[in-house]
Amino acid sequence: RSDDRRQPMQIEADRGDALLTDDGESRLTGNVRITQGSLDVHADSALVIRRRGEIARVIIEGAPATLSQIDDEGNPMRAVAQRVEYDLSSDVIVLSGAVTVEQSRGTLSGEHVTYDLSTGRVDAGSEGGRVRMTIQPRGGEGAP
Amino acid sequence: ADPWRLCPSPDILPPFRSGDLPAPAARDRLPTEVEADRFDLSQTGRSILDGDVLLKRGDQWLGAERLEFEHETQRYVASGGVRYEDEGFRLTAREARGDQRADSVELDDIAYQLVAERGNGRAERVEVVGNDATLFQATYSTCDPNQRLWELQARRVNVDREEGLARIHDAHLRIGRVPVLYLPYLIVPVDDRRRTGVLYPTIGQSETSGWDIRVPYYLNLAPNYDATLTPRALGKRGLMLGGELRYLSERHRGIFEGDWLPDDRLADRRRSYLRLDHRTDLSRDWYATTHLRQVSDRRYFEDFGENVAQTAISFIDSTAALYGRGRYWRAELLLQDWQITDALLPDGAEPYRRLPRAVFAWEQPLLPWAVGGLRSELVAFDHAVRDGGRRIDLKPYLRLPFEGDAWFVRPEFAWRYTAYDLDRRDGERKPTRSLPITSLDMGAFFERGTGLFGRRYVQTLEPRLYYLRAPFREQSDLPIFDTQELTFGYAQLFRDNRFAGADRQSDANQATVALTTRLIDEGSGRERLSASVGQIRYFDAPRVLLPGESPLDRSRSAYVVEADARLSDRWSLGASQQWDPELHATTLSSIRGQYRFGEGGEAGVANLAYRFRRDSLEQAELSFAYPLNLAWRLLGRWNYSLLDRTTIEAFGGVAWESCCMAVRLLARNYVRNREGEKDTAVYFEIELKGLGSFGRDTDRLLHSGILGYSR
Amino acid sequence: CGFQPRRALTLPPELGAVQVESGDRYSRLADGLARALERAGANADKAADRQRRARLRIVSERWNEGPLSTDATARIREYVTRYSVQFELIDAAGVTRVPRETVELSREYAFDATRSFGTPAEQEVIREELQRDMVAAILRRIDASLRADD
Repeated sequence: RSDDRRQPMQIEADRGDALLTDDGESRLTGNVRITQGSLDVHADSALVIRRRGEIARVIIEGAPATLSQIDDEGNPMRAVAQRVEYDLSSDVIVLSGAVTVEQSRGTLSGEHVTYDLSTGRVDAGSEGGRVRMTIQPRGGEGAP
Repeated sequence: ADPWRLCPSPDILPPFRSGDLPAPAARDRLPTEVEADRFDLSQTGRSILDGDVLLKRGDQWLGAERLEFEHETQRYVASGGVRYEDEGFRLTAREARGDQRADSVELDDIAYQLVAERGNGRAERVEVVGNDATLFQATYSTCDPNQRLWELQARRVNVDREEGLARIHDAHLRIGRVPVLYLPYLIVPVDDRRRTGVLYPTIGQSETSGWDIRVPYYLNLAPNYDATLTPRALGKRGLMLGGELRYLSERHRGIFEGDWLPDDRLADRRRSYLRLDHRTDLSRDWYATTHLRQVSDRRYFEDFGENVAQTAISFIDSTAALYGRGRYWRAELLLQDWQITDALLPDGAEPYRRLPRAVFAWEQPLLPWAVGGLRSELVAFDHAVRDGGRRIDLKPYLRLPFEGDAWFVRPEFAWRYTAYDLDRRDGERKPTRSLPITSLDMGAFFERGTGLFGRRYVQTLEPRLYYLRAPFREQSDLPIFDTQELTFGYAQLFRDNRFAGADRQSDANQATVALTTRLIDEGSGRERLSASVGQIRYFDAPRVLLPGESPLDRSRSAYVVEADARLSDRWSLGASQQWDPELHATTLSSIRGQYRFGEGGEAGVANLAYRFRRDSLEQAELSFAYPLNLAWRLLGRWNYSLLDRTTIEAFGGVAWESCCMAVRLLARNYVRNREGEKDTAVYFEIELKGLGSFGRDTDRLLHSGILGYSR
Repeated sequence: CGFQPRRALTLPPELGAVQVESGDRYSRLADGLARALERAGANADKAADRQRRARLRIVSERWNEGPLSTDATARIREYVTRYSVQFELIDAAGVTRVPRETVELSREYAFDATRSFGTPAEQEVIREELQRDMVAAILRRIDASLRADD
């Protein structure tokens, strides 16, 4: 949901060189789990970058990493990608590498998808790759 | 030949869809696949795609620069170089608005092509709903866009792919730039299920009937039966209605055709020709057929016959029959009636009615070298003028086929018993005839390799001896119901009776000597030449005659020579000659040659034939369809009777053909009726391929006039 | 002059038994061919399983009976009956051994409209003869074609 960003973010992992100092990067590996409100991320490794004590950017990778969230109308969204970059200052998540995004409207797949948390805008394919979506028949007698 | 072979390219719009084309399943159950360079999913319930967008569902394929998809309503708007294709259509458009749930799409400013029939054109708007499409302010033609020889402009075109038809409303036909015709309503097939050429208005002119305008209406009454009504206006005769009803079911199928002219101004009476062909499969082994023919008067075919073959018919018959068969037997029950269609034949000239005729034939291998059989026929003959009667004819036989790889000896022993029950008042009322018939058929096969003109052939030599013995039985008192002398020829040398029909069984003490040779191309196995010669030696002159036939006191039959040669894929020759040593005269001489020109699209054919049959006819015939080039062909036929020193039929003309249009112009001079009066007719026909033909139909005339002719 | 007796109708063993198939289940040509093949040793029915069967497919049979020549009073003087058959031979493994081809036989016979009571009977005699001749012609074509292969 759009107010997820105001929720506290928890990050857990098996190992981490968690310096948690004001500036610098900390790397966590092994069953990384990040939650923030309805946002729930599972990955193999995460790089947390801090600026003046605040988490500025999180770069997570997995084979694949999974990300799920509930939107304001309560519809679930589940995304899978090899690499996810979450820039908290611009509120934009960039997924890349065999990306699929499952939404009530359909399943999106491509190489590069940007997900703007503030506007809910999902842009795919700006890096020149093709993006595909499968839309299930709905309403009408054909609906599953 | 493929009608579109002269077209520059097979498609006006190249296929958009590539790869394996999915079968058109129920579209509304299938998911919609979309693909683009960029997706904008920011608005809930709406996806905006741009950059080489593709939308696919089942057999539907849509390409555009930009697509907006409303998920809730499943509606979309596509714009920017829109291309749409499904199983039957291919379109390019400025914009498309679709509704996936209603399975409909609407496109503006389109260029289209029907995938199956090359029909193409433009339209202001098209609505595709499921399998059907409606085009508004559309043009239709099968010509190439840059070679628009003809075009139909219509307010509305409804394409119904279920029936394979397009219904065109308020159509203006343009040939070149000249508006030629306004047609309020017209039907055009859009796939090859429907016969082309039967559904279009045709306008012609003939000497016997004046103007001849036909406008067919096609009624698709149900999936398994349809009808075509063809009102026809004849300048000199009046209004005529043609009709055809076709029906097909799991066990029944048939066609009813009728032509009905209530009041023929020239003949001052009704003119009609009705015909029904029906077949019913009763069981695995039994089926029934009906072939009814009924014509209003004897000169019908003279006035309405399409070619010499129809005009020349003297009798037409109607039959209803039941056929059955088993592993070794075959049965038939037939009712048959006749009608005279020849103005100069007296009443009663028609053959006997057979009410009924029952045939039972059985033949079974009893032992490896023995085959038993029976041919039996029971007929009740009836006639308007002549005395009728019942006749039974039984012929049990035993054949002993001794066969090796290179020889055969087939003795056959038969007994023929025939009995009558006649209605005549004078003479024997129940005459019978009974006699044994024995024959011995022997032959051998020899072959050798041989070289000819540099090619290797296998040449065969097949001597054959056929001895026939049947005692004389007095038969001059027996009636003639369905019997006449069989035409003498090579086949007659090996028949066990000089007559067809059971009323006469010829006596015989004769032997046929014959020799056949063949040349078989060793490389291809094709039979290049087969030639046969034979003659019958009569040890006793045959004494059984037909009434009025003069006795045959001869010891030898005519020599018979028959040869067929297909020297190459272009040349073929055929000859049959009969020379009678007793008369020192040729009794039959027929020579025919055929040459095939060119390849594929440019194919042509030429025939030359001479036919002489003693005391009957002597004719020469030349016919050709000579291709000058891909577009032009010279057509001609000249059938001259040397006996009557007159032309039986002659036509000459030219045919021009292009990708989507053909024009044929023929002048024809032919014998029109039994009085021998000639008629000259001009055939001018414009065929708009895929739409229709205007003018007098030349197809049947050319096919019967030029052997081997194909469009 | 080099003539020897003809070798047997060579149906190669791997062809297996030959099953005759026709679109028209009442086809007498199919019956005639089946019996002739039986006599030539390719026993169609006795083959153990149905798969091990070569198929002699009669693709189409067409009869055409019509006038050959007419005289100066537009009356028919000669009829011709044409019988054309398209067939192909596919062996048990599905390999086409005799590619599809057409054999056409025809017979001409005189017609006199004033004395034509027996024409239907003559046409029947001719149809039966053409059917018997077609069986022989097709077997000859198969023999020649198979021998041309090996």
